[in-house]
Amino acid sequence: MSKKVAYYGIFAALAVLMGYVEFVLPSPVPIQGVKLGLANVIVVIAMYFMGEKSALAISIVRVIMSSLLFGGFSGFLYSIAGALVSFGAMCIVKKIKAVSIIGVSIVGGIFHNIAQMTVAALVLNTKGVFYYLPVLLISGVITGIIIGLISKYCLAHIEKAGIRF
Amino acid sequence: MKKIDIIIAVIAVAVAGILYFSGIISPKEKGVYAVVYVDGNEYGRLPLDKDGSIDVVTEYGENKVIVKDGYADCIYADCRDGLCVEQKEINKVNESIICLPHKLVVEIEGGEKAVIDSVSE
Repeated sequence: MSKKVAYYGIFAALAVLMGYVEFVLPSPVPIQGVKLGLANVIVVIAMYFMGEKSALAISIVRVIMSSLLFGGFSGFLYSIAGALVSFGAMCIVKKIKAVSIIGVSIVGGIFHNIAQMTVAALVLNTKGVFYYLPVLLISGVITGIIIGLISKYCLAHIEKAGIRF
Repeated sequence: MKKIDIIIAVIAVAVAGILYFSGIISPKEKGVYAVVYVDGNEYGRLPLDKDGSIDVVTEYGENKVIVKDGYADCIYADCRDGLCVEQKEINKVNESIICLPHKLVVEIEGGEKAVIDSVSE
């Protein structure tokens, strides 16, 4: 039990750290709150290492912590929409056996961006933001592939080291 | 990376390409007006064929939108990060400049819609 608590703590801390890295990096679209979704790397690893429920808990803790630390309220809306929608989409795709961790992560990246753009459209009460959809789709695919590869190699090392949740 | 992962990536990129090049969201057609919306309501409009400017002052903050040489641009904002000032100038239908903290959107509208608007007015 205490070992599990420690894992939750480490993963949540890593996810907040990735959120900070993302806060420092520029977004592909100059709209406040729309971000790359790099913190997803920890959620994807957690999904495979600890299971889906644990990953969801870590994801929500991360969003709350990051919003308190660097985001503010409008930042919170974007992050939680991006986190929950991409999580849901990844869970569905993960059930398909033919899809590997990279496919799952690509779908997560795409839906993260679609969700954030939808929030922007609702907050601004305009469909003007959908002009950025192609850019966000492609950036979702690219970050998805990067996150998928990082997660895959991290998981391979975790397994090699014989670490189990 | 399995075959189906590549298929997912290719589909997403193809959709992005279709959206971009088919003209559904970016018609590549020069607009007639730059329309400034605040909170979804029209605040003002500038014709693109002559230079002009609008000072947008609302409860959310201040922005300055200008038209110069047929392009609309946001050149000033008193918000924290000024991302809308960084966004590139626009002149084609459906292109937009967005300033989230001030709930401001500048959108380019085409001629047809402007005609319909003036008739209905």
